[in-house]
Parts: sequence; C-alpha cells; structure tokens
Amino acid sequence: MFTRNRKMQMLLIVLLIASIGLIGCGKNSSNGNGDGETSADKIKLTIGHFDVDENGALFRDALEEFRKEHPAVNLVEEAVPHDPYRVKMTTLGASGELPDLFVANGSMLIDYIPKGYVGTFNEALDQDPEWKNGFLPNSFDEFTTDGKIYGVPTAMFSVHVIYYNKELFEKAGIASFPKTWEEFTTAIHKLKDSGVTPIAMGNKSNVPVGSVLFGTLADRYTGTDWFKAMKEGKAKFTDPEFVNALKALQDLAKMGTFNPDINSIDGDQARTLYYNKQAAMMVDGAWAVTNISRDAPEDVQKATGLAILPAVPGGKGDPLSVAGGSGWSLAYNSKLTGAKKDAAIALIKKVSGQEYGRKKIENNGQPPVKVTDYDESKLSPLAVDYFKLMSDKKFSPIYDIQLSPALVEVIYKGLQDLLIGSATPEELSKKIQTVRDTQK
Amino acid sequence: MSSSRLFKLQAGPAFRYLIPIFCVYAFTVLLPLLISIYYSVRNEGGTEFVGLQNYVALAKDNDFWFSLKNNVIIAFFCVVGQVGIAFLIASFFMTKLLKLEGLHRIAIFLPVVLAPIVTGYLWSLMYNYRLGMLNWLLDLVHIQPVLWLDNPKYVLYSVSVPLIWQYIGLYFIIFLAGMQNISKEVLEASEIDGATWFKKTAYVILPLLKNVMSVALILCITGTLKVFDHIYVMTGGGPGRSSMVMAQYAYNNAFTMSRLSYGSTISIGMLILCALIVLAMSRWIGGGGER
Amino acid sequence: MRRNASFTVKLGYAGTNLFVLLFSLSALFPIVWMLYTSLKTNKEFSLSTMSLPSSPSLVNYSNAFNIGNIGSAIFSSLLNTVIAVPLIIICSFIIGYFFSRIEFKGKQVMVMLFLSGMMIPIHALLVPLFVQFKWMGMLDNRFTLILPYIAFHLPVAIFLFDSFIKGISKEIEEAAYMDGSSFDYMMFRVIFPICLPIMSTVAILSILGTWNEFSFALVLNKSSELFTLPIWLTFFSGQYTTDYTGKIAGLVITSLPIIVMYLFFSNKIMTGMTAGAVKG
Repeated sequence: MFTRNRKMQMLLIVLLIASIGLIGCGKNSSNGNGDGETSADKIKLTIGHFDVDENGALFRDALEEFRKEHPAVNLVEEAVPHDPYRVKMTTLGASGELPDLFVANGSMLIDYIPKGYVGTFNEALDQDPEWKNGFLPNSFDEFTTDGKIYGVPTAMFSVHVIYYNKELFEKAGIASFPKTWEEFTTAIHKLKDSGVTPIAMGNKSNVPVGSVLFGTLADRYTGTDWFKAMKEGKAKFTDPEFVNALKALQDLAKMGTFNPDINSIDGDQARTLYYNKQAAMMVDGAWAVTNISRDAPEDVQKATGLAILPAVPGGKGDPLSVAGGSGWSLAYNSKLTGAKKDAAIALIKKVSGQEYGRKKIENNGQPPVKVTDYDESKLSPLAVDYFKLMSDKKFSPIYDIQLSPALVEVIYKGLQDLLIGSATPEELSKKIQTVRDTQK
Repeated sequence: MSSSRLFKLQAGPAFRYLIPIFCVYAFTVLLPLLISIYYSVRNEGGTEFVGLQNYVALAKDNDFWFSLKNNVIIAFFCVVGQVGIAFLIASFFMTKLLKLEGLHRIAIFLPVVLAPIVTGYLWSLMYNYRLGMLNWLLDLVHIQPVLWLDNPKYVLYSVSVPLIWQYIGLYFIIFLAGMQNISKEVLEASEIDGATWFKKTAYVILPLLKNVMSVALILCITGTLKVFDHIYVMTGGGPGRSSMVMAQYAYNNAFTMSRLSYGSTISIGMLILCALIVLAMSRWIGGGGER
Repeated sequence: MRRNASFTVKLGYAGTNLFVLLFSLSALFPIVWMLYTSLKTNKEFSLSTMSLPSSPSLVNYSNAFNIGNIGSAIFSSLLNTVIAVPLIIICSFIIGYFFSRIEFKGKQVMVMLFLSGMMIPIHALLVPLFVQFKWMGMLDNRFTLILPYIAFHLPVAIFLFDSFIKGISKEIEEAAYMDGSSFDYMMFRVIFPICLPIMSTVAILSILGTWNEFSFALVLNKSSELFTLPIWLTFFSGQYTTDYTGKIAGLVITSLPIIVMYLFFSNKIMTGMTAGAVKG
C-alpha cells in the first residue's frame, strides 16, 4: 500500500520536473543534433510570410528556386495565413524576436522602425542601380521614413477596381458604365429593379469596404491634399468634405446598393455572388483580376468590364485617381550582418527583380517593377484591361497603409456601424477625430 | 477534536505538493499577469511610465462599457440557457420516466467536445443568409429570410445561442453527478410523501444541490464574461460594435491596433470587473454555502 | 380519481420523453449535418444545403491530406494532450484537496490567486508569456506548450475538485487517520478514488482545452513540425476560402478524433459518475 503512495508521489514530482526540464534540455538537443550538424556550415535564414494559398504559389516557387541557387543557405519558412500572421508578428514585435526576413506593410513598419528592428535598403539599392531603377515611381513611398528605405515593395496596384457585368447592365437598361455620380445612383436603382444586387462586397473583417471602396470615395470628396493636411494635423475628420464622404457611403447603403449580408460574409463569398450573376458589380482590389481569371465562369469573365468610381458633385478630388500603391513589402531584421545579410538581400532581389516581375505580370499579377519584355498573350484579357484602365490613373493614399493601425480600426469598424445605420456620419467623424487627437 | 490536527498543514505535504504546483502556476500565469499590469502603466511603445493614465482612459471609454454591457447580456442568456435548461433536463433524468437515458446523455454532452472555433464556424454557416439551415427552415414555412448576424437587433441573441447550445451538456453532466450523489432514501422518502416532480425538484433536489449550483453559476459567469473564440469566428464583434465583447475589444486593441498597453489595460480592467461580479454573485447565492 | 392520476402520469411520461428527445436531437443535428455535408461537393452544397449527399465522396478529405503535414499535426496535438491532461488532473486534485480540507496561513490569498486565473482572457497573457519564454529560452520546442496548458487549466479544475471534496464527509478521513494511515495514503488512496465523477469532468475539459488550443500554439512555437491541429486548420481554411464543404471537412478532421474518443469513453465516464453515487 505504502509503495503505491510513494509511486504516485514520485510520479508527480518526476512529471513536473520532467515537464520543466524537458523544455530546457529539448532546446539544447534540437539545436545540438537536430539540424545542427547538417547546417553547421550553412547560413540559416528564416522568412515570415503569409503566402500560403493559391495566390502565393508564385512566391513559394521563387523561394524554392532560391534554395536551389543558393545551396549554402538553409532557408526556413515561418508561414501562416494572413490573420494569424498579424497576431504572430505583433507578439514577436513586442519582444524584438522577428524573423530574419519578413513581409510587412507600411503600418507594421511604423511600429517597428522606432524600435530599431528593421534594416535599411539605401546602401544595397545604391550599389545596384539596375535593381533600384527597375521599380515604378513612388513604389517606396510607404516604406520610407526620413529618406531611409525600410522595405522593398512586393506589388504595386490599385486597391480599388469596380468589376461589372456588362450583360447584367444591359438587361437593366444601362448602356455603359456611368460617368457621373447621378448616373451611378440611377444605375444602382435600375439594377436593383432588375432583380440583382447592384454591388457585392464581403465586409466581415471590416477592411474591404474601408480599403477598396471608401478610400477612393473619400478621396473623390476630400482630395489628396486634405489627406496630407490631416496627417500633418492641419485638417480634421470632422471637416465637411470627409463627413460628406461618410454620408455618401451611408446613402449608398440605404439605397440597398449592397448585398444585405455584407457584414457577415468575407470577400471570397462575395465574389461568388458576382460569379453566379446574383450581383452586377463588385468592388475589389486589383488582385481580384487573378481570382476572376481563375475562378469565374467563362461567360462572366467575358462580360466583365473594369471601371472606377465616377466623380462626385462638389468633390475636391481628382476623378482619375484611385486608392493604391505598394501595400506590402519585404523587410529584413536589423540584427543581420555579413553573409546572412547578403543572403537576405539576394533573396529579396530574387522576388523583386525583373524576372520575377515578368512572371508575376504573366500570372495576372501587378509587380512593383517596370516590366518591358513580357509576353502579353499569357495575360488574361482582364489583366490587359486592367493595365489599360490604369494607364491614365494616379494613386491616392490607401487609408489602412498610411494611417496608424488604431486609427484604421476606428474608421473601418465605424464604417460598418455606418452601413447598418447604427451611427450617423457626424457621430462617426467626431469619434474618429477623438482617436486622431490622442495621437501626438 | 482529532480533526483539528489532521487538517492542519504539515511541512512535508506542503513542500512536496502545494509549493511546487503553486510555483508552476505562478510562473506561467501570475508572472505574465504582472508583466501585463506593467505594460498597462506604460505608454504605447513602452518608453515611459504613465501611471494610471490608461485606466482613466478606460473608465471614459464608451466602447469598453458598451462591450461590458454586451458581456452581461450574454452572461444573462447563458445563465438562463445553459444552467437553467441543464438543470431542468437533469431533473427529468431523476424522474425514472425517461427512456434511453444513456443515449440522451451521450447526445446532450456531444457538442461540448467541439472546439470553440469549430462551433463558431458551424453556426456561422447555419446562420448564413443564403445557404444557412435556419433560413432554409424559415423558407419551408414561408417566412422571409432573417439576417441573423448582420442585423444589430438580433446579433447579440444570435451569438448567444451557439454558446448555450455548446455548453448545456457540461452543466447537465455536473448536475447529474450532483443529483446522483443525493442519497436514495431522501428521494424515496419524498416520493412516498407523494411529492410531484416539481415539488421534488424545487424543494428537495435544488436545496441539496446548492453547492453544485453555485459551482455551475460561477463557471458559467466567468466563462461567458471572457468569451472570445465563438464571437471572433462568427462576427469579430461586428457589425460595427454590435456584438463587441470585452475580450474581443482587448484583442482588437492589442493585436489589430498595435496598442499593447491599452489592450493590457482592458484585460486588467476586465479581470477586476469579473472578480467583482463573481464576488457579488457568490455573496448573493448564499453566505452559508461557502462556510 | 385513479384514472385521472394515471392519465397525468402518462402525459408526464410522454411530455418528458418528447422534450428530452427533441432536445437531444437539436444537440445532435448540427454535428450530424457537419459530418454528412463534408461528403458532398461544393456544387451540391450550394444547390441544396440540407440534403444528404447524392453520391458521397471523400474528395474533400483526400484534398485535406495533401495540405501541410497533417500527420505531424495530429501527433503534436496528441502528445500535448497525453502529457498535460494527467498532470492537470493530479495537480488540481492535490490543490483542490488542500483548499477544501487543510487549514493554513495565506490560504485565502492562494485561493484568490487561483480563482483569478479563471477570469483572465488568455490573449492578455500572450505577449507577456512569449517575452518570458523567450528570455528563459523555452520557445519553439516539443514541450513548450505543456507548461502553459497545465497552468491555464488548473484554476477551473481546482475549483471543481475543491467544491466536490467539500461535499465528501470528513469522517472518511478521520476513520482512516485512526487506522494509522499516512497523509499521502489518505489523499491518494481514500479520497482520490471518491473523486472519480468530478475527475471525468476535469479530464474532459482539459482534454478539450489542450486539443483545441490555438493562440499559444501559434505564438510560442514556430517550427512547422510542431504545429498542432488547430494551426493546421487555419492553413487548410486559408486554402479553401470559398469551398464550404472543403472547410467543413477540415472541421470534421479536427473534431473527429475527439468525438470518437468521447464516444469510446462515454460509458466509462458515465459509470464513473454512478460509482461516485454509490459511495453515498
């Protein structure tokens, strides 16, 4: 009997000690004999990214190629899907434990740069003018602070494109895509009467409406100068032009422009509505060119036209501008030195150079570099249309990249309140300005 | 008399059991909690000490109190739905009228084993406006489809139902275990006296289960006040802030908005409020119970 | 009079059975629906949400096995559960026993500290715990998750054991003490077996908790061979954003092991509970 108790007690103590001890020992052993011996002379490089789905295949292939070209580098991917990636990066960022290379957007960099976590590219870019000059104008804007470049863009695109189904427009008696705001709202009424949802969007995560629709709509009303003034603290969100933009969005919602379940479905589910011809338009980023070319039924692809929001009455913005730019970048950890840093730069060149740009464009993507010699026949008709559409457009700021994450969340979450009618434009503008006031 | 010595703490058992386990707990839960409190009295970025500034901001934060209100409403639904229904069903199991007891027990407990994210996703499909099971049922009886998760008027109810659905089984099992510990003689005596099901349940079983009931209530309230996973998957607190709860608000602040200090402040505030609510609850349930 | 009474009995009989039956079905149906829907193709699903699959196919599952390393994910989840759960049970039983039986200085404070653990949202501790583990060199390891999994399940488990042991008559131990048995004997050999009913509840809760845990698994480990099943699921759903039935299959894969285990052990759990009742 007595031995049983002793056993129990011993078991407990052993297990407790083991569970703590194993963590320590395990660490050593995994470093010591795990991959240690094979990679002792190898350069270990970790890269954090979220390109785990179909759209990321090109990127993953490039990493694979890099591995073959650089056998001395042991490239370890720390990849998780986008939402968990953000949680992970926030946690890592709080302790400075970032991967050697990582994908970051402008607003993540705003967080890391003052803490000194990210290395600069100025030197590397200056040493390789061919690489540097290959990029599109302004593509480094979002990643530059005080003249220092902290990130290399991975794409440059418009986040606002209206994809519309010409057949459904014709059926509703609309000859061509509306050119004025009045025509646009009339078209929405006509489409609604013809029994389809005028615009399909999936705003569950509250980013889509803010990013792909409202950013451009707001610019139509306020103009880009207002945005710059606001960033300098010289203009306020309570200014009438911004409030008018909020009003315009709420009016659209009240008209029944959107699918009623806009706030409970995600972007992919909304695209399905467009593919099934239940919706005549969808507003989405340029990346949807890839999705439509791959997933939409043939007849929908053929009937799809591209457009942007028309000018608004009394708007101060340039009607030829769309919210866009280079949203995401590749950055490297400031701790890297020597051969490790060289390998990191080599990898970044690999996924931002001419060749990768060509592949990207031929896969209906939008690279941040000027690609001259690509094979246009490989592009889907939609991608060709996209470049045509963009030829005379210029980019206005993307809210979720230029503003701090806290402000973005308040604006975008507030837009959901606006869509369901639980806040008025005036209330929301005051709330946003309050948060703006707490910053600096 | 002998019990007083028997139930005094002796050095041996304390060092063998109590202290090691407490140390593990302190290292993994209490220490991070202290670090979290430390974050909450520093500014964003952690460069300087700001005292209680974040807490003052929290006290003035309309959205925080709004999410507390939502939490309290959800907790109320869950107390009625989870604990109430579970008790009712467990009491049916004591009537000897029920057939297939074993199968019912297995079925009622089954949802408990699902992961919260699985439940959340499963129910968001059932709530889906176009493809969902609920609107399909409504369509059968020719009722217009309902926007379960989009309409701010219903969304709070909609997110409570999966919580109730999932956890009834847990409280049911706890009650059943408690009821089976009531001595047979007491129950038989009451039956001989001719007590109806209602009388037996209300006047015999319920008073004897006071202890179990307070366990169930405290589990249910602490569980729903910090509810996160279900809401995160189904609505993320939306649309707007209609279904925002404290844990989601803290998460958004810390991870979406990169406001780690304020996120920590919300969590600490939440901990304090939960403790107050539970304290008030256990006082109210009955001073005598805890001795 | 007599006939009247028997009529009420019959009504009560029918009513009770019907009510509980309906209730069981509502608990069961969503899960059954999930199981059979995972055998449909997405096209079939969008045509009719509720119908049974016309030709059940395992294509969703074969897709699932091509994504990531599901085998190692299952192994990691299993390992964490197998190590953590027995420890949770033993530790929480011991603390619960001390709290309910033994008087000592500072007990109130300790009870408070453990109870407060029930009210902390785990996301509040994610960053601090990460910082702490990094500092201790305990990140990214096969056993990293064990410690948090034990510690975070202790409060509820202790609470359950404590209130259960309070309901056990002290005479049992007094008798054992008179017989000259030691403290350890009393705790493990006398009281521990009596706690079987609540133990099964604790076991279930902690198995579920460790098996399904997501946030710590995401943040504290980074090597892909240490991914647990919930992490794998996010990869899977990232891959199949519009494919409802594919996603549902992913849910089934994460839930099925635990459902099967539950069904397998449910008899044990239920007899465990009646065993507690017999002791009276």
